[in-house]
Amino acid sequence: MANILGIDILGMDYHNKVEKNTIYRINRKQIPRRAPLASSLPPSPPATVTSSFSSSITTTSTNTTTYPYLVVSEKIDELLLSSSSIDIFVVTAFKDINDNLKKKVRKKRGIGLEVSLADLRKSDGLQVGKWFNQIRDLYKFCRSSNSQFILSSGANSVVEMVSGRSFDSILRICDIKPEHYWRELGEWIESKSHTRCL
Amino acid sequence: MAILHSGLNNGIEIVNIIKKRNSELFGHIATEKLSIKMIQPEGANLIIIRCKLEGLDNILSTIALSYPPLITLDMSGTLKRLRKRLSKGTNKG
Repeated sequence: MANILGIDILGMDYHNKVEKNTIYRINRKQIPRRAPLASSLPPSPPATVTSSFSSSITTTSTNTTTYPYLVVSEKIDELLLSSSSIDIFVVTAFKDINDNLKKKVRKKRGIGLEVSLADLRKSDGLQVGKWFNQIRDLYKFCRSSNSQFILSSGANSVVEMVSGRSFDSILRICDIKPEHYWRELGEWIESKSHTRCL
Repeated sequence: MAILHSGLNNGIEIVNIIKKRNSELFGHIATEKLSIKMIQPEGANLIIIRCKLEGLDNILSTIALSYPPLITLDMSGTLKRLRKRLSKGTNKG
């Protein structure tokens, strides 16, 4: 289905089954702990990913993951913790994007700010119109703070998925060039995976 | 344009949902200019619609922001090519 919709890599929850071309979304509590390798690495509690950005999965030790993943949270409290290893913060309410949060996001360089379309479907036209404007502002903020803007379908079923071409249209309406967006997102995901692989 | 839906609504209802949402987002005049029309239903949960090329971005975003959820599976300038692409996609996926 993703192929038909022009989507190369899916982000989805992990249900003990590894699929090709998928990056799994896990929350902070699910972060797998890596077993120290026999030779050199010191034991390190933070998460690591053992596979590369591509779908090829190469894992070794029993405690390491066999899938690429990103840590997702929608709790501001978790984002504010200096020790948190959150990769993506889900923006559920734009009123939360206040000055305090902006400061924290600026400190956590490279974090992804995700906005989902799923809840927006049920909103009325006025709310959607406001949303487009808020997205413009959020994108500008992401650019200035070196964080990654992520537009997500938030799909819970196949019917809720959004095609790549539809994403492009929404981005264009928000004055975001789709080609820039996809390139930046691809580079960001790759850099996140590389960081985890170290 | 081929649109996948949950199957709970018929083709005419789906087109009305799209028109209503498009009017909410981009206005009634813009919606009328698009000339959104249903060509024909294809099975229980797939319909083919047509619209003017000028408002393609608007209609694609409208479909992505509609409730009940709809997916634009594919689009093409001709019905023949669209059907061909759909059958190819179905065979692949």
